Amino acid sequence: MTSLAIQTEALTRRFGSLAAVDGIHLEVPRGCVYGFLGPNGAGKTTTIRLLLGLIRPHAGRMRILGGEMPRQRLAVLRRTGALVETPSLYPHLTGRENLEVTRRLIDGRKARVHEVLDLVRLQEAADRAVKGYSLGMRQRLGLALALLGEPDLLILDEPTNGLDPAGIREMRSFIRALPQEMGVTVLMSSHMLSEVEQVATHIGIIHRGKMVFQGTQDALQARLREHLSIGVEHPEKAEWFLTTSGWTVHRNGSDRLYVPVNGRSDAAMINRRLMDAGHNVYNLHLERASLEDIFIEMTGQEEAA
Amino acid sequence: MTGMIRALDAELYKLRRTLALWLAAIAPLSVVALQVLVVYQRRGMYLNRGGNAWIWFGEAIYPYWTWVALPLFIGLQAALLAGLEHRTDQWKHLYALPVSRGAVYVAKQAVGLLLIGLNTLCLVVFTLLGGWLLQVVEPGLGFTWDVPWARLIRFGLGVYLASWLTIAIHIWVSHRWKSFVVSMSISVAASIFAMFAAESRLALLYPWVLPRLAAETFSTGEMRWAALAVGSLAGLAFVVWGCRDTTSRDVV
Repeated sequence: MTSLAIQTEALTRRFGSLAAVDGIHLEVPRGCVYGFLGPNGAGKTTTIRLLLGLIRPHAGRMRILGGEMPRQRLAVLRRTGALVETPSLYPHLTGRENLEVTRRLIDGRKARVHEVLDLVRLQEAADRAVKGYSLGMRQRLGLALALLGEPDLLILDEPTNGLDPAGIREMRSFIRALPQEMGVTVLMSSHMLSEVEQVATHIGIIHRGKMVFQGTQDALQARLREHLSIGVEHPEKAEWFLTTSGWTVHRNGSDRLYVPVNGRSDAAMINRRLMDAGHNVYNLHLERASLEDIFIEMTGQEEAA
Repeated sequence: MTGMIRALDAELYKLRRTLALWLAAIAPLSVVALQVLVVYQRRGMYLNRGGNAWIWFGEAIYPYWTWVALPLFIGLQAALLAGLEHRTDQWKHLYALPVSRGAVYVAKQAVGLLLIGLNTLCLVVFTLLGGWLLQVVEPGLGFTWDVPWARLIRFGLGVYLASWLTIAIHIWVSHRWKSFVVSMSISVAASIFAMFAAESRLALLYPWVLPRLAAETFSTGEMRWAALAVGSLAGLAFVVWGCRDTTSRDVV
C-alpha cells in the first residue's frame, strides 16, 4: 500500500487557452492534514474538482487511496468525503433529513446519521429546517455530510469560508483532530495562509495553476528567514546607511525598517553599526517570517499579503 | 441497478414538503374545480341535455388539460425537480458521491414520470369527484353511476404514455440549463406551436401534440396507438440520450 493518499502526475486542466491547473505533482501523505494554499483563482478548486472526478483532466494521472481516477471513480469516492466550496444543502429539509438523503444514496449505516450529528454538535438543531440555519451551522452540516460515508480521505475546499472567529476556531480544532481520532487524511484548501499554518502538517502552495512549494510545515518554516524589525529616529537616513552597507531593507509602508538576517549575531552587528554611525535606535526585535512572507516571496504577489 | 434504486429512493425522499409534490394534485384539482364552477353557473344549459353527462363533462375538461395545462405543468414540474439541485449547487455534492451519474439522472427522470402519472391519476379521480359533486347540488345534470370507466382508463393511460417524450425533453432541459425561465419558455412556446402542429400531417412527430392526440380516445372510444408508441418509445430513447449527454459533461 502506498504511503500517499493522493498522488498526481503532471495533472493539467485547461479552460480555453487558460491552464487552470498546469502539470501539478501533488503528493498528500496518509494521515496528514495537507494545507492546499493559493490566492483566489490559483487553481485550488479546479484541482479539487479534478480529484473528485467532477471534471476531466486534459493530461496527467491521479491516484487516490491507491485507486486510479477517474477510471476507479466509484471505488475511490466510496472512501472519500468532500465539501466543495459552500455546503450543498436542501433548505426545505431538516439537517437530519439532509443527511438521510445522502445516506440513502450511499447506502450508509442508519446509526451513522446520529453519529455525525454528534460529531459536529448539531444534535439540537437536527430537526429544524436548514433554511433557518446560520452559516456556521450549514458549514458544520456540510462537514457532517462529508463524514457520513466514514471516509479515509476528506477533501475540504475553503472550509472556514464565511465563518465567524469562533466558528473558525472550532472548525480548525476539529480538522486538526481528524487524523489522530479517526485516522482520516485531510486535504483542505484555503487562501487564508494563517489558517493553514495553524492546522496543516504538510503544505502545498499553488499559484497560477503551478505548484510553487510542497513539503512539511517544518520544511517550509526552515525556509523562512528571520527579519530584524528596527525602530529608529530618522528611518530614511538609517535605511540609506544600511542599504549602502550591503543590507536589504524593507519598509512595508511603516516607519520601521525590516532587514532579513541570519540569527542574533547579525542583529547585534546591525545594532552596533547603527549606533556607531550616530543613529538613535529605540526598539529592536527579531521576527520569524510568517507564511504570508514566504508566499509573497515565492509568488511575487504583494497583493496576497 | 442497486445504485439506481438508491438514487430513486433519495429522490423520492427529498420531495418532502416540496411544491413539486403538491402541484401533482393542485394542478388537476384547479382545472376540474374551474369546470365544476362553469357547469354549475350555466346549469340551465346542461339540464335535461340527454346522453351521458360524464362524456360532455370530460370533453369540456380534457382538451383544455392536454392543450394548455399538461404541457405547462410538465415544464414547471421538471424545472422544480432540477431546481432542487440547481438552487444550492447540489450537483457537485451528488456527483462526488459513490453513485453513478447515470443513476442520478435516470432517477430524476423516473420521479418526473411518477409525478406526471400521479397527476394524471388525480385528474381522473377529481373528474369523478367533480361529477358526483355536481350531481349532489343539481341532480338534473344527469351524472349517474353509469361512469364510462373504460374510456376514462384509456384516456388516463393514453395521455400518460404519450407524454413521456415531453417529460424526458423537459427533464433534460431543466438539467442542462439552471434558469427556470428556459424550461418555462420552451414549455410555453412549444404549447403554442402545438396548436398549429396538430393540424399538420406530421403531428405525430411533434412531442407536445402527442398527449392531445392520445386524449381523443375519450370522445371517439378508439385508442391512438401511434401517439402512444411514439410518445413512450421515443421518450425512453430520449432518456438514454439525455443520460449520455448529462454524464459526459463537466460539473463546473
